[in-house]
Amino acid sequence: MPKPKRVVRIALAGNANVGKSTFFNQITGASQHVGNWPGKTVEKVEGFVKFGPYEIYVLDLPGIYSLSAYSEEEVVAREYIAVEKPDVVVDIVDASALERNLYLTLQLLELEVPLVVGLNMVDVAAKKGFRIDVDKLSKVLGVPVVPMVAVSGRGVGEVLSKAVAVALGSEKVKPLKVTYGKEVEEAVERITGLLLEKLPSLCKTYPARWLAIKLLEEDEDVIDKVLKTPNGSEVLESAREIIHRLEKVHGESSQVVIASERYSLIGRIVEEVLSVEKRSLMTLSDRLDLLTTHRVWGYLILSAVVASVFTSVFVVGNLLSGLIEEWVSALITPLVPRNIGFVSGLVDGFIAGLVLVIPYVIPFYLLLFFLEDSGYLPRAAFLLDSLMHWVGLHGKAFIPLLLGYGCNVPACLGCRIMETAREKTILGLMITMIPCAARTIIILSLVGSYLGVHVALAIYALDLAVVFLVGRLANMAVAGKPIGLIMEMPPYRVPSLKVILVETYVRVKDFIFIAFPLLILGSGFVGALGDLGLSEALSNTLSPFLNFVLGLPGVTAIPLIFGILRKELTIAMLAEVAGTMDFSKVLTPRQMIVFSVFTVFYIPCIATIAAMFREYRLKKTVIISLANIAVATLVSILVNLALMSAGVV
Amino acid sequence: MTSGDITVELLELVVEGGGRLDLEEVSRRLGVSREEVFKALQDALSRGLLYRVGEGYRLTAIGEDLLTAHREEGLHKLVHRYVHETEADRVRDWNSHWLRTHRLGRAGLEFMRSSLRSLPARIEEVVPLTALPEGARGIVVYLYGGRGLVRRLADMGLTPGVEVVVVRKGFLRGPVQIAVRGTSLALGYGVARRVLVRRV
Repeated sequence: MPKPKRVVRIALAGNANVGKSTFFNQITGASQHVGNWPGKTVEKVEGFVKFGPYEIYVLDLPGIYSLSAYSEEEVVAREYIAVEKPDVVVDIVDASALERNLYLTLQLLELEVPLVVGLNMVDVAAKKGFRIDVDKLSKVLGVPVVPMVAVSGRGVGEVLSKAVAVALGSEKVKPLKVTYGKEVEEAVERITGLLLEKLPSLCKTYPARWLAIKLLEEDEDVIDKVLKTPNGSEVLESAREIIHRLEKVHGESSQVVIASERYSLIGRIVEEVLSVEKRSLMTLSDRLDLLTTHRVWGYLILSAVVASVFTSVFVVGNLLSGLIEEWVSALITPLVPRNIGFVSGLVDGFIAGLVLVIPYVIPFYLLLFFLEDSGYLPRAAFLLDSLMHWVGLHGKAFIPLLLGYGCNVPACLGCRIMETAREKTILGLMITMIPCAARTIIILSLVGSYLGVHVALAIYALDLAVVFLVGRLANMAVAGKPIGLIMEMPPYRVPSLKVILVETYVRVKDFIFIAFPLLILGSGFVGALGDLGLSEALSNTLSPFLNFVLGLPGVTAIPLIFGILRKELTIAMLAEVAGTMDFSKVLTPRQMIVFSVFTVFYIPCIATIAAMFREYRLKKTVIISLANIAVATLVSILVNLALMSAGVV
Repeated sequence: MTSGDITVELLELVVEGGGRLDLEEVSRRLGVSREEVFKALQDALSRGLLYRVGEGYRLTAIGEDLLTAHREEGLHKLVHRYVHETEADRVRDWNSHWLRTHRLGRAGLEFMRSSLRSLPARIEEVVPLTALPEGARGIVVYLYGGRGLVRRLADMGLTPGVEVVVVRKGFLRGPVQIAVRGTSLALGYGVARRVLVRRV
């Protein structure tokens, strides 16, 4: 047997919704690891596979349509390919949408990487009446093309073995050189020459021709790179002149010229390899699509989906979390000394984690991946785009926002479905102010039971108004411009249970590793405050603020401090500190309302802070938390004043 | 009219007149005094926008750049305005509207024509994507907007000349769902209005 070879590094590239993750899950199973790219809110998914005598490292790049600098995802993908230089890139292509998919393939060829094309969903394409001449496509592109069906696993092994063969050089490839029209070619060649002459160091990392094309496309990221290199501004100056001349000849911006020429090359390729046998009829997916985006039925269906998400999160989540808490506390409490605040804090943190993860986080991910894998999410986003526009976000932002009503933690993690850091930040801020199930308990058991459900509903309405107002203000305050919706509407399909389970498992595992330690340590820290007698002091410092600014009694200070751990502790601690379950003895109606309002906004709980830290790192987490405190104070003062002037005691 | 405007108009008229420049006529057409025109001419010469060729003038490379930049900006403004007015369904005669509201001269008009090369003779047929009803077909003729947006749209397959079908239009200025190049795309209202199409 030959000695074990070096690790073969494979990068998976492809458009979104082409079954790339399915392919990845097929080969790696649950052995994958999900993390973040350094400094980005983009998921980095990687895994190891044993394939014959080879150890293969597979990196699943984010789903992208192009290698421009439009989204963080695209920059991450192309930097990895260009700089880290994987041994081979496997490009997963949707056979039923060949034209649009080959656009990325051409750009990968331009990056001059060893490439293998996995032609996925050939079954779907066949149903549509598409016949693709695979050999011819392979010949035209100059790289291996392997037909496959990722969902069933057909052809997956062949793709892998071709990839290994190309990576090890045992299969020779002669990749197509993507050529443009005469004027563009001239421009590309001139800029390439300039780059090779003036910036040889940059051309060692990136192919010179690719850099030239990106300069022609006026790619912000590449321009930046060139400018940072000595002699860069000189090259850029000349490039600008060349672009200028090109645009004059074509009467169109250089980006459009280049994209058009790529597509016309693709058009010629597709004409050669694709024959459509029969006119495709309306598929079931098309019908469902029309139904779910209909202006009456669509919204009705959306309401039903929202209602069932709510029900599952509230009813199931609440039920489970109650059961688990009871069960776990009964099991653990006798085992630990309760008289030391620090230890009891650690234990509480652990219980909080369990009570959170199992009932809320797991169902959340199952639901999210079910909706995502079936293709419904883009339809919901379509319906709500105009509403979300008001806060500078687009339709997709609705989904995490909705799930925030169950629990803010998974909702914060869900912010990554937005394209840019700007969108993610605004959405994160809005989510932390959505009353989760725990805060609902507070509202209901205080305001709801003493003042009536209508007051509780009014608090909900007020909250929603504040959330949208804050979103709108954040939209003005955060630098950058809001981006409009440009979203693919993938066909509906039967979701794959395996994909849903694996994706859920991997992310829950990741969440436990990141959030649990923070949650447990944070709890211990607050508990230790009590040990050191500091909570008394803290409560004394807070009292004046509560008394004079919000009109609340000093007795609410300790509950509020414990609420940072878990929001529902506020109400338990209030009962403990006040020594009674009858809250009307310690709080007037006005104070109840103000206390509830303040609790809804005042600060994200520790678990949410941990989740935010995971997504946004320190600075933004601090900013968002401070914004919460500011909004809570402001809104509470206003509510208090309004109630006073209305004569509510 | 600011002195900058006069300079640009002057350059425009030099191109239009094939190099000849009658100060009397320029002053009449722009509605400014002869002195102002003369000053603008001296200014353009000293800034290296124009140079003398025998009896006439010719634009330097810088002069041409300035003119192009001005026309491009004008083009964007025009398209923007056109999109808004088409949505309000007010523009009937595009050519005269174009000439009347923006004195860009014949050379400027030529530039725009060449920019919107695939424009048909009947300009009324060109509308923003948002103006097409559900089920209608259109051919993309022009994308306007920041370079990031334009590149993204082109990347997604919306290049001039491609046919699109409007599948669904969202409620209350909601997104427009289109079929293009065998895929289905949703474009937010603000994005969709930046895609000009010719009705088929």
